[in-house]
Amino acid sequence: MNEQVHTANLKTIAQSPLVARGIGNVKVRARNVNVFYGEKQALKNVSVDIPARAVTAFIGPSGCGKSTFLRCINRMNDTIPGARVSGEITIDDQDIYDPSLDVVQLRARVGMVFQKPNPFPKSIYENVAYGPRIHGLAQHARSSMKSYSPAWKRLVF
Amino acid sequence: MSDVSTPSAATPAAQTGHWYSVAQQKRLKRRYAADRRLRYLGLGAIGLAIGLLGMLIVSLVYTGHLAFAQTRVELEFYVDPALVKADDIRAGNFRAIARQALFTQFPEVTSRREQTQLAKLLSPGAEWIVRDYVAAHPELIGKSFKMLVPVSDPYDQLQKGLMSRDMPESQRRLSDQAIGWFDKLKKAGLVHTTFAYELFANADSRFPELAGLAGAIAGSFLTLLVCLVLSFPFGIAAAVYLEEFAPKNRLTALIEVNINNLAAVPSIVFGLLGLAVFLGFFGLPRSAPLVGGMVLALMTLPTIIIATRATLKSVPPSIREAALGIGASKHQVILHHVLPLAMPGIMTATIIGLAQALGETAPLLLIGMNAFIPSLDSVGLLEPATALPTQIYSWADSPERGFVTRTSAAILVLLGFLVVMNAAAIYLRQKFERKWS
Repeated sequence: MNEQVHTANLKTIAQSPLVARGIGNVKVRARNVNVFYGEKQALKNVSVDIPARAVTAFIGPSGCGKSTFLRCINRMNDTIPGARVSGEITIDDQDIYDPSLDVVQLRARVGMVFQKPNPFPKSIYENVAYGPRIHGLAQHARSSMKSYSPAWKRLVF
Repeated sequence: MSDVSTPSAATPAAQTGHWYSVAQQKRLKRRYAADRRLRYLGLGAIGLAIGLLGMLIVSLVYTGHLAFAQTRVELEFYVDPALVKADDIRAGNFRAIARQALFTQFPEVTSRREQTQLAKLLSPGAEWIVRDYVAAHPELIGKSFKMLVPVSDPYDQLQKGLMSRDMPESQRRLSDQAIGWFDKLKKAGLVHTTFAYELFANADSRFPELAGLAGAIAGSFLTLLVCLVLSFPFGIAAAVYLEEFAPKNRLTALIEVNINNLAAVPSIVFGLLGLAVFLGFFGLPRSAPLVGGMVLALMTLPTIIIATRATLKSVPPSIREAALGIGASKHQVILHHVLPLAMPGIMTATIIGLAQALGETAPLLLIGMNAFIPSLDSVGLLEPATALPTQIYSWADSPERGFVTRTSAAILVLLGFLVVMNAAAIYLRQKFERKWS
């Protein structure tokens, strides 16, 4: 299965019903992305538009590069020694591989849920509160958590 | 592959592939024999190790158990107001009081020479014990009280059966007359053998019956404290840097190789370093726990660094990824997630490293941490001190017979500390270890 066909299908889907409903603008745009793990090339020339307010699913056989591409979007591949990404990926028309961009802020904005559950070995409250806390969003621990959403009440207990 | 159902085949025994053929049975027998040999080899090795260890412990206990008991004599001490003044009790003539208490048991001993000999029955420390007791209870001036005081070393040896009564008098330390006096006290029921608390409460002494490990234990404690304070933070920081932040280049590889080699350097080399640099160049006080602790810290650092790196490597990458994924920076990942998870392993390695440092003798000897510490008043980081292993070394050198049993007892005490520390390390490891399935 070659990526050009993939891309063509995706563009078709993105343009028709979503554009018609006014929610078809592109959130994440990838152009000519190549990813190398050392000498081995994992992604060849991937270009795709991912629309906002929609669920986009990447389907394929195991080992075809789905996780690799996802990890490019929040720059998790930076943590792998020997991984090299070329090409352009933009979120809201901002190039995320720009050297002046703070990767920590990027990862705060672009969340990632992993295939295998990996909670921190702490209490559930700590797991949930850790993210907001390190980004300065939780001033008074429990009360500010509750103000965000009533669903948090159940989790806090 | 053998056919399970071939009715026309030859008898099962003839088919070599069948389970019960003769050839197959021979192969099975050979394999079982090889398994057995390997198992017995392993058992034999363990048996040999346990046997040697058992021999060591048994011989130590055999020679040393007597040092945990002290022979004492119960005497009635009359605190003569003429000898002790209430305003300065400690300056009183307690030597005379002790001698008098003993002489009242032997009214037949009158000549000065015999009295001098008899006075040697009591330990020289007896008068100080009486003095301290009266100083704590000033109301006793003018009254009598009964107390147990230790006997001197030759009589202690006699009571414990370490001095043979059958030897000719000229070869013995105690004359027949002296033994006769002692036997008279025994017949009167005044001789008791009780636990030798002096072994743990007293500092070192010329007299074996008064020599204790308190000074050595205090010195070892201070030394290990300095060692811990210096090696723990630096070791962990170095390991975190090497594992998380250092670029993978030649310089880093060189540093790693050197740290691994330092772990194998003989400890006496660190003692030479301490002597030349800490004492000679920096001019720090000789035989001080501070210098001893610094030398031991140098020795323990490579152990802690290597063990910490191994523990950091064993933290699963999923934890790091989860933390990175919600936008934690690298140092937040390490401080908030990786280090807390690695802490049990690091603590185990630290305790084991400290236990090794506790038993190190050669480097401490080279920096002179072998001082004769007769009093606990002079214990301090910069004061001359001694440590448990070096104390054992001095006692082993001592010609007094009483020190023979005390050396073995001191070794047992040191082994006891080591066992406790290692048991604590194992307990911590069991309690906090996580199985990453």
